[in-house]
Amino acid sequence: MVFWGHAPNSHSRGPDVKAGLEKVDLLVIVDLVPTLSAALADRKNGVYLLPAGSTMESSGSVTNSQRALQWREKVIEPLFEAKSDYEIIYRFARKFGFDNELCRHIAVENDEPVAEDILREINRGSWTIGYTGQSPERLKLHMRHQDKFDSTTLLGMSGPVKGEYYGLPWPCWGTSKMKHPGTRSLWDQSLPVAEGGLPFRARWGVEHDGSNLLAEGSYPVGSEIADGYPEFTYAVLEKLGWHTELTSVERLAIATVADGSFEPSILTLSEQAAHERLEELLAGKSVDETRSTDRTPGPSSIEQNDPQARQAAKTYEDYTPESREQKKEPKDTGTGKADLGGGGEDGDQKMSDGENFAGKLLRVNWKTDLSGGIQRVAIAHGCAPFGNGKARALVWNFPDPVPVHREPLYTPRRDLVEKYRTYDDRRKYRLPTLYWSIQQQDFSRDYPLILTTGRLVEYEGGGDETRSNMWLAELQQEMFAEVHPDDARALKIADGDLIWLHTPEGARIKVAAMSTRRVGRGTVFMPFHFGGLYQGRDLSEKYPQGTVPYVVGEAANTVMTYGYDVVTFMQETKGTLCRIERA
Amino acid sequence: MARMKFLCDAERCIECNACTTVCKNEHEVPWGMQRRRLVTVNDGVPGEFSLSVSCMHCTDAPCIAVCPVSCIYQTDIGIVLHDKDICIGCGYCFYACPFGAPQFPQTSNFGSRGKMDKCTFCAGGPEADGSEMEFKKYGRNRIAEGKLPLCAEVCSTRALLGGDGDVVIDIYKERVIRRGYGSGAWGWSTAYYGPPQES
Repeated sequence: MVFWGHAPNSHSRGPDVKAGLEKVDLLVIVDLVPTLSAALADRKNGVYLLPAGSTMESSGSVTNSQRALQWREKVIEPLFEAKSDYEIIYRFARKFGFDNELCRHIAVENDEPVAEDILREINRGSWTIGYTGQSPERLKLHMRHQDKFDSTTLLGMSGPVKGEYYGLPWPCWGTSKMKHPGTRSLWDQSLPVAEGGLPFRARWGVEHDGSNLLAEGSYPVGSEIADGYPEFTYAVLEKLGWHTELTSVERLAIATVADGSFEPSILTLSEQAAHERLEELLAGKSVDETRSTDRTPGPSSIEQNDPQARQAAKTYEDYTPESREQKKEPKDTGTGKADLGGGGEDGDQKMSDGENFAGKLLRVNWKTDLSGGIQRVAIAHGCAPFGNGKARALVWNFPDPVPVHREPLYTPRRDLVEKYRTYDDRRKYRLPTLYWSIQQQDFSRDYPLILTTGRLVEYEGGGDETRSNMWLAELQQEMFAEVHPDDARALKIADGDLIWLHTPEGARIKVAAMSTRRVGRGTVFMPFHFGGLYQGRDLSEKYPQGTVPYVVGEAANTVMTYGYDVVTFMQETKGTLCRIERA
Repeated sequence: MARMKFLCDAERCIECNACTTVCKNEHEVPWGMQRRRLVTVNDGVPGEFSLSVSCMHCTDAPCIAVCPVSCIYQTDIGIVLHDKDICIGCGYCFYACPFGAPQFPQTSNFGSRGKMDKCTFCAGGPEADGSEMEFKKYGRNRIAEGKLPLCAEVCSTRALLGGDGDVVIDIYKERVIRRGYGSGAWGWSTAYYGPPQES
């Protein structure tokens, strides 16, 4: 098991986590600090700590939650024995024997993959989210001209960054050559797609149960299709007559993607060379196979260029037989093929070997065209590559197509259980998941208080890194549980008293009580950034010498209980029951 | 000449602790001493607000008035500084200060106080500007480098303003006009006399 920048105290069910860490054959921890992973398990063998450099010790792109990228320069070489994440993963790959495959398009200098090439590799493949236009050169240009961006709108106001949004927030469509400015706000129809505007993505096909899923009368400014339309495929381009605007290189790329012979070197061919290779490739196909590619746009196609979204939708359906089959599948019953929210990646089915070249060609789309040509042409006509659909409020492939309240598995409100019952126990893939068999038991008599967890501003995640920072650690020196003053009074607990906090699955932790009205009566809150104490036991001596964080404390998730999301299997860390008593 | 002042707008402070953390890092303030700290009032109940507090570099600084060894002085731009070579750690200034700004390191197990330490408005002390000794005793001297206090510079909501008092109050006045009410500039009139805005 490899922990790479991840904290074990972010996982609920602490005793089970500990048992798991003790059972794995090999435990590898790659991090700036040893983390609780190194100290939690009672084992001495088979644990390896690989010190990783911080963000100051390597360069590269970094993406924030507003989707913007910045280029980060290396400030110092990795200190002491630390190595950069890039070097560590490269050395692993070399040991495992696939370093050449991993770094086929990435230069390696002194055992370290070159950061610029890593971003270029990401750019080459991330068409679905428009993480393709942010080349290292464009990002570095933004860093050099930071002063030219408006600090409110993030728009470049002058110089070489004029008209671009700071950090090229994704989607930044097409290749970097296309110079898409990035998308500051998603789904802003007041801007053309080429300037960062977008409609909603036509994500779930064009039709469901007889209802049209495409937008109706709604589209971004400048769209040549004044209505909804499906995701762009080569077939859609062809039907609209726009495929003739593809360059020979783009056409060759699309054709080779279709027949499985694509090579990145195609993208650097001259137009003439690409044209010749395309002719050669098409000549090798039977007449029947190439039928659709030979067709030049006749009058009928041009007529369809008229804003005819319905026509485009029809076209789309015609050419993706599998998508129709998929839609006919019964609704998710919990036992059938799991579809985790995708709801039908129309036009994205695997190219089956049985299908002929023409069919495969038509289904090359904005996500699989490695030249970005389909995206470029769609955007040139004011259209979003991902189509123009409606938002979906009815998620037909989820167990609850419209969200309904379901009482937590551990609830003090037994009166609500009947009306807002949880699911029956389920099995998805190989994983059985418990619901009703837990909820049907009443734990609220022994554990009367609701327990939830959350964040502190001073610490991050499991807190190993931030609690090892002197300036931050000083601001929060003790793990605590917020208890309402009325509850504290009833339990004869004073502010600052040490308490034992017990939860229904048997775990308990020793923390300081904070009597505060930050929480409501009957609710206890704990921050989840602490670690280094386990059910009352100090683990400090188990850290390598000199690496104990400045502040240690009980991990809240030691006592958080069972519970998993029905679709994503995300753990339940926000709702359980507890009992507290003075320690 | 410009007169340096701090203003913390409690309407804007989001209790992120960036000011306190960056202060410690910039000046390498030891554990247990806080030149700037966050105070949250009415924590967890309606009307909760937070503000960032440090030495306000008062107009008639009471610390200067009470210091028995006259180690505290005010510069020509209104910054209150002190000389640690003269300070005897008596603590009078701590009792006089309305903001609890003076800090004292513990120097022995018997609780005796070391030399007083406090916010310097990032202006160092009496040692030569930018000298190693100045940094060791008082922290970095950003003012000498033509920079403003770092705490205010990093404030993401611009709750904390530090700089020329006339500019600071103009910014605050405009805010008050825009939002239509003036509460927020806690400590201003205590430090500098007069209301933060004429209403």
